[in-house]
Amino acid sequence: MANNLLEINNLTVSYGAFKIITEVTFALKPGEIVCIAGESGCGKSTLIKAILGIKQLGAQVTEGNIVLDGRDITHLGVEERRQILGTEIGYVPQNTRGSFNNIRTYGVQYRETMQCHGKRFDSKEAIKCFDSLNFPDSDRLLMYQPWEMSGGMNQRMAIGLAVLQHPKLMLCDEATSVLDVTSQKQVIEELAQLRNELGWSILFITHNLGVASHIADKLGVMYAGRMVEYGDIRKVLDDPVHPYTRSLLAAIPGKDRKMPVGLEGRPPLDGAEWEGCNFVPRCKYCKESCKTKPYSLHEIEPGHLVSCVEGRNVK
Amino acid sequence: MSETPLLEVRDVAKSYGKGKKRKEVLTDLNISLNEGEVLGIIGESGCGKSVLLNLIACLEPVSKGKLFFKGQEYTGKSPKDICRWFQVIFQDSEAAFDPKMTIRESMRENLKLLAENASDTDRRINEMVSMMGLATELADRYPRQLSGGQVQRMAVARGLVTEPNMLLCDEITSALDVSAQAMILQYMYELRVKRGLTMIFVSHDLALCSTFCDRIAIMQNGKIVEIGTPHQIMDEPKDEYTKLLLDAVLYVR
Repeated sequence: MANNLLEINNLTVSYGAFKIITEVTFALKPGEIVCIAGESGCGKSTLIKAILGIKQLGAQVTEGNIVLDGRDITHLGVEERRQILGTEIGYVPQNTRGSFNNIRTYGVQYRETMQCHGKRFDSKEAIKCFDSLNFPDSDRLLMYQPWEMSGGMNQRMAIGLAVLQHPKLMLCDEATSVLDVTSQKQVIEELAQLRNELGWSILFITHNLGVASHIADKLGVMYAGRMVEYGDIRKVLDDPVHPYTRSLLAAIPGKDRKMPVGLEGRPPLDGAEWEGCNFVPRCKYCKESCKTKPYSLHEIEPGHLVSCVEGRNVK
Repeated sequence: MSETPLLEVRDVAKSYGKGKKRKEVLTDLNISLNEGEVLGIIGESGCGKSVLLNLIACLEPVSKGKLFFKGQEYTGKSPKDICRWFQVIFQDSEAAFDPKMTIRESMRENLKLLAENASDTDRRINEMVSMMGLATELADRYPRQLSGGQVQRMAVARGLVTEPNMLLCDEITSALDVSAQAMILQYMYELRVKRGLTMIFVSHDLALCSTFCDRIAIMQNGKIVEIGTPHQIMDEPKDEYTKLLLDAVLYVR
């Protein structure tokens, strides 16, 4: 479809022979928020790095492509990529403490970043932007240095910097998971506000389905590099089908104050090629046939894709 | 007549710096904890939760106030004197284990420090490791060879080999993803049931604490603003700040 802002087609990313992401396909429409959830090491962050083109530890896109606004950006050169990063794709990392220089003012760092992208920095515009995001003390913020700020405020300053460049697509990599609940809620609300006012599209990576359920339109669940369930957020959360999605939901402390249920073991991270479903060793519902049946996503109802339906058969 | 509480924190305050730079981080805290009770301490980053744990474990001296263990004052003792009573578990356990030692070697060090008789060391280590639901072979690995959740459970097991009266847990699950966090909670809950272990559980996650604490204390700027059972805190919060925190919890909708 032409009206997708971002399309990930059959993407495979490998570190050497080890496939960290296998055959992931999904699309992001303008103004949509898509959340990708999964446990540590499932390839969520690598997905973001693949879109940004950060080649860390020799990670390479070996199959498939990434299309941004009709243009294939999978294998762009350094110079071409520099032109779209920041200005077309904004990025809020998990650890903004590490991305700002701790002992230089935000003003200086904002200016430098804008100039790198060939834009003029106007502090009045920045303050207006802070105001629109309800940042406290907005006219003084640019004079502060990151170490003077709380983690939550620092995270919001990173969002502010991304907003100033008016990107079409925003990538948030666990942008709230280092924050405590009150700052987390603020950041989530700000992101939702940006989407409503500026029509941003956001790809939001998190392991917290509680966070996802509050902002996302669509939810993808990844396990060991594969997308195991994908669909409209309400469909996935109200009727989770894949055994892994179910176990993720069971692990979250709920309103009923019941003990959450964990998941024993760890995902296969040895890079071995899997025949059949790679969740088999940890799956409560698996059958003999699961060990050989090749992976594929089925559409069980319009807008809800799942790679395994065994979870549905068992209460 | 009420029984003597296991731990009592009486009018404890902590401040850093001198003169004009003096900053009070904890003000007049009072906590009493009975044997077998689990207390959750909730608050935002920087409210003084971790400092409080450090004070209880004598890792830092108190500025004011007194600490009692089974009715006996222990203010100002060295951590070595009281490590039989308390064991602290931190957020980043991989950093708390020596990377050049296997988990088992690290655990042996703990027992050595207490001059325990060496003959049944391994048996005790194995017992604790399996109690946390891990295979005993895993104890012969190095910390980096285990997943984050496994290392954290090993840290709990290490805390328990010396058979302390109390565990002090400082944000032990906040670096983990939800599945690993739930695993830890399950085993901690089992410990409570089987051993009647007393715990202080510091966290910023109210939903998490409400699942297994007997009482929850809400801290704001170095003060406890509200303390009560999960039911009192979650369903009938009295303090404005508690209401604010409750409002910020993002449950799955």
